[in-house]
Amino acid sequence: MQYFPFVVVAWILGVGLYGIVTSRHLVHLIMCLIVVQSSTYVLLLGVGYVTGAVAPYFYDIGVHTPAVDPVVQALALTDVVVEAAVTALLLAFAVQAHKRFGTLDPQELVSLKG
Amino acid sequence: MDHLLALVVAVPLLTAVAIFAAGPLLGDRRRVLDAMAIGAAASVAVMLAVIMVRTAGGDQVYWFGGFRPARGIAIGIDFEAGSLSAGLASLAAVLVTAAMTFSWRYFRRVATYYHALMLIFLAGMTGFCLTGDIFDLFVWFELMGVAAYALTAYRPEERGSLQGALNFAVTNSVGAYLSLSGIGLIYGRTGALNMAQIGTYIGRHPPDGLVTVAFLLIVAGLLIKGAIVPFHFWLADAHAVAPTPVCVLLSGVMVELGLYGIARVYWSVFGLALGHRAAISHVFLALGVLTAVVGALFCFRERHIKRMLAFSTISHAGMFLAGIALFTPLGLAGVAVYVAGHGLVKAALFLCVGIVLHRLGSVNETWLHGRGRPLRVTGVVFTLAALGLADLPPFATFLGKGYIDESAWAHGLPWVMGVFVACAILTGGSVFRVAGGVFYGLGDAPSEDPAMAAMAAEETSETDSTSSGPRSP
Repeated sequence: MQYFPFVVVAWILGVGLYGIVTSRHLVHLIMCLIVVQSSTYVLLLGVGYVTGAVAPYFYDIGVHTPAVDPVVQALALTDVVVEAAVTALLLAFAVQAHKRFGTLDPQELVSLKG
Repeated sequence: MDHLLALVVAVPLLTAVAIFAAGPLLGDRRRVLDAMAIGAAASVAVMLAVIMVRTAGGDQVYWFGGFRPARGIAIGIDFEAGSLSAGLASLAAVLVTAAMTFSWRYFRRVATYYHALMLIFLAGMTGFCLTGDIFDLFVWFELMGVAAYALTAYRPEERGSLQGALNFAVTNSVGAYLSLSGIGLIYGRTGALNMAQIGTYIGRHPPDGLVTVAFLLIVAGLLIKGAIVPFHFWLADAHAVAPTPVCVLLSGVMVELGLYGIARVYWSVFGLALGHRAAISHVFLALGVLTAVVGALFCFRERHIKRMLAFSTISHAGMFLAGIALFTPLGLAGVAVYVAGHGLVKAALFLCVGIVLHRLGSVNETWLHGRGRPLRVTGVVFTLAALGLADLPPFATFLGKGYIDESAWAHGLPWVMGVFVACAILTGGSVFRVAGGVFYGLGDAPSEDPAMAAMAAEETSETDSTSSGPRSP
């Protein structure tokens, strides 16, 4: 039971990486990146989870009541903010690619000359 | 306690906000924005120089909001400036100042967000160097990453620039998430995010498999940032398409920051307690040497000058990693000097290429053959910088490489020296080939096959967009 969240993390990470490697569509690629990042949310929350504990709001509960770790929740929130910024930027790139070149296929966008 | 350590991040961020706010009001008077950005970057450089001098008397620590550690537990977030971190941050600030000054003339028209993004990039790099908190290391890593991705795609007129930026963004973000996974695991084991505190915990408790896995995940993310083989493929694509002033920062300091992160995490978090020191050292050394050789070979066969310089950066990143892998104070000192020297020399080379692109409209070595003769001063500077890149005295690169060589020799690894000399010959030689061919017309004019000529013509047509930049949104 204790290892279950981490198995899920590895699964999500693997699926996301597989998607990124095989993706042929920019929006699909960006979604796969979000999937990879989602594995970190599960990991962080899994790390801070305490069986039978309550949410860490010490307003109307005793000081010694077991609570889940609030630090990892703050980390996960920050992680969400980072994801929002990165995803927005990448989707803007995808919009630009579609507007200017009429394609969302990463292979077709390659026109580097060396 | 003074607040200098907080100001080096606050000043560029606040100036970026001010530029965003003032941009629409100023209309065509972009010189005001240029001056604000240069002023902010230069003031950060001065502040970091002051901090660097102070670190001679011991590391400087700043606790945000005055949340100092209580009973050995860090409850706040801190900035720690050692001579290495302050020095690297100063290098970043100096290069941003130089890049912004160059942009004054380089872009005929420039969008407001360009200045703001450059300053956010600077804040990200400074924060990454100074942070004492391992989760913040990830946040700064992504902050400088996001600014760099946006700057790489600053001029999305070509298919290549979007592809380069996307490749860069996806690869680096995956790296950041791997690092974050490692950070999550290490927090789960130690209950701490402050690097010094984690280091103390690991020093007291025998490390197990989980700590090793966490170390590997964190390092994997940083290796991607550092463009180490097999994670190097994004760098050349990104550097070839980014605007020249941005290339200065990507090549001159951002790649090195990834490697600095490895050194930082190893020395201050995991250190000797992790064990497997010889194995880790061997793996890093092998990766570093492989990267140095691969980068040098690609550099030599490249005709696109910006891509050539990008491959030379990959080669040098390999040498830096090999120097770090020795895990000796002398090796690390050598890497620090080498990084500073390389950053400045590489910046000079990229800026010269920027001038060539601005004046002659191409970065293709074959097409440019002999056409750079009128740019006398640029030619002299480029040649001098090429000497620096080839690790010749009296440049800092020579001194830094000398330290690494000496440290490798003391380690019983004399062959490392030979590999480094070979790589320096290949990368320095390629850049000399450009210097001699482009600026002095030396050697036979390369035969212009039709494909090359077509390519050169295409590049010429692209210059207008280079020098004018996209319209303000």
